[in-house]
Order: sequence, then structure tokens, then C-alpha cells
Amino acid sequence: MGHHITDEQYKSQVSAVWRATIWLSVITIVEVVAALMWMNYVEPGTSKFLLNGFFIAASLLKAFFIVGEFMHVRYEFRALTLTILTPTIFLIWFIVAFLWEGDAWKNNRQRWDVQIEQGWKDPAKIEKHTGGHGHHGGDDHGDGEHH
Amino acid sequence: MAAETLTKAHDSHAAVEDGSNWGGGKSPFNVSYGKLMMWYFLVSDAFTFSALLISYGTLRFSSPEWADPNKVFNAFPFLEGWDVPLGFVSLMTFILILSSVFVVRAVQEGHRMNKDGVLFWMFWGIVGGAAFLGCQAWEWMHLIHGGTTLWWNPYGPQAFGMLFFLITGFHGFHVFSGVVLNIIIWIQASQGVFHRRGHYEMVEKVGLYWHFVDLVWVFVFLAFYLL
Repeated sequence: MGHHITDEQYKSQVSAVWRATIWLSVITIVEVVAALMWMNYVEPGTSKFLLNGFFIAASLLKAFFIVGEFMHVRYEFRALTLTILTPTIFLIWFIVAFLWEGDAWKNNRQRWDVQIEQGWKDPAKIEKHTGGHGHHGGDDHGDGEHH
Repeated sequence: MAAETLTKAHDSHAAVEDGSNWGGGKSPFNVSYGKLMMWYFLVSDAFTFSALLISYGTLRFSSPEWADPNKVFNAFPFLEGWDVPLGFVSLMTFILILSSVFVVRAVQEGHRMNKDGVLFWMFWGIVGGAAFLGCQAWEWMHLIHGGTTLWWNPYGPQAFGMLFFLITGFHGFHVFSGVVLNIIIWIQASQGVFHRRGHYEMVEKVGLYWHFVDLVWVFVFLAFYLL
């Protein structure tokens, strides 16, 4: 039984955990305060690029404390750490590819909305835009006429 | 403390580098089979949650506008009519962090074979998890009464309600199963099962799962409430 852990190790581990707790709490409080101050003091419509960058960095820092200290990865063999953490590298591409796709989707959608809007006013115009693809333009065209 | 950690880290790195752990006969990762498998389960679960959160991001990016979290999440129990943006969810976050800390303390007491310590801290870990679930139930009820459903919501694009309930629901289900597992561990510990076994490793394995739930919440909090 005694082989598990010495008193000194125990004490240092306990204080490391409370330190990580304080870090996690402070980071969360700073995040929420930043969100509230932005809401109250920054003009609406300002780009949130920097603020969002800060939120993401702060969340990754929190993840570091949870995985490193609470889940004990900081003290494990390097081989175990690598086998757990390296697969998550794929997430970088996963995120980039899908957000890119979402953005392209939005652009397409906005372009179509504009064309459909124009179509309502001038049914002849939408035929020009959609050409021979027929289906989409045809529906809108029909609606426009009934209107 | 630093010196000890360094020595230990140095030892483990040396062991990996000279290959002596890979000759068979002992775990090259220096963990038991069960703990390693818990880690692999968590890695796969991390990808499940990533897929959910990334689909949230994709739909959000595809939409010209989105719900403003400061306006959606501004209610607080017993403070009807008050405007408390992000107040309640901050409390929930804090509860879950503390619950995670209590379970780490239970794991540490387990290393010392201190049964009463394990029971004490695990109890508070369970209370924290249950409190979080209660908070989430209140928040869901509040949103549902306000007209948010899977198919419609008053705050923005249609997909917002579906994504919110699906992702926080899936996380909440993890919290729920974590609380159930923690209760089972508490009962087994109180009956002296782990003491007779000579180690409290089950507390560690279930603890890993519990911290993972906390880790996921960091990113759910980021995606739904901050960004």
C-alpha cells in the first residue's frame, strides 16, 4: 500500500490541482467579462475577429489545464501522450475544410437570393442568369408570374 | 515539486528513448489495459463531439446572420425579468469545473488508499454533476417556454434550436452517464471493493471520463455562448 505515493508527492500534487483550478476560474471570468464589455462598450458591427481569437486561445489554454493536470497527461509517458494527442491534428483540416465549405455555401445562397429577388421584379432577367438549368429558375419564374 | 516532476519526466523519456519499455513483458505506456482503453474511447468520443461542433460551425458560417448569445442566454433562475447575459451559464461552467476538481481530489485520496477521502470528494463530485444537470434542465425549460424548439426559435436561423438542443443534449447525456458511473464508484468504494483489491484505479478511469465531460463543456461554452 505504501508504494503508491509519498506524503510530499501528495502535497505537491494537491497544490498543483488547486493552482489549475484557480487558473481555470480566472480564465473563465476573464472570458465572460470580455464578452460583456464588448457587448456594452464596443460599437455593434465591429469585427469580432480579435475577440474571437482571444476566446479560442483562452479555451485552448483551459483545455491544456484540464488535460494536463486533471487528466494527468503531464505526468504520463511521452509515448502515451503522443498516442492520445497526435490524432487530434486531423481536426485542424476538419475545421478548415468545413468552415470554408460553410462560407462558400453562404456566398452561393446570397447570390441566388439576389437573383431570385430580381426575378420577382423582372421575370425575364432570371432566365438569363439560370440559362438552360431550368429547374430552379423555372420555379421562380412561375411564382413571379402568378404574383 | 518541480524537481520530482523533472526527475520522473526524465526517467520516463529515457525509458522510451532507449527502447527498454518496448521489449515486451511490461506496458510501454506505463498504464494498465483498462486505463489505456478508456483513453482510446475518449479520443474517439472527442472526434464525435468535434464532428457535432464543426457541423454547428459549418451551418453557422453558411448563414448570413446568427443568434446573439448575449440576448438568448440572459435569464437567471429566481430573477425573473432581469437581464443577466451569460450569468447563468458562467455559474454552470463554474459548477462543472469544481465538480471535476472534487473528482481529482478523490483520485488523489485513492492513491493514498484513503477510503474516507475518496468517499468525501466523490460525494461532492456527484453533487456538482447533479447540480449541473439541474441547471441545464432549467435552461432548456426556459428556452422551450420562450418558444425555442428543434424546428423554430425566436432568435435567429432555424438551425440554431436544433443544434443547441442536440449538442448540449448530447453533452448533458454524457454528464448524466458520468454521474451514474460516479455513483456506482461511490457505492463500490463505500463497500470496500477497491480497498480489498489493493488499488483505487477504477476511480481514476471513471475520473478520466468525468474530466473529459468538463473538457467538452469548455468547447460547447466557446461555440454556443462566447463566439
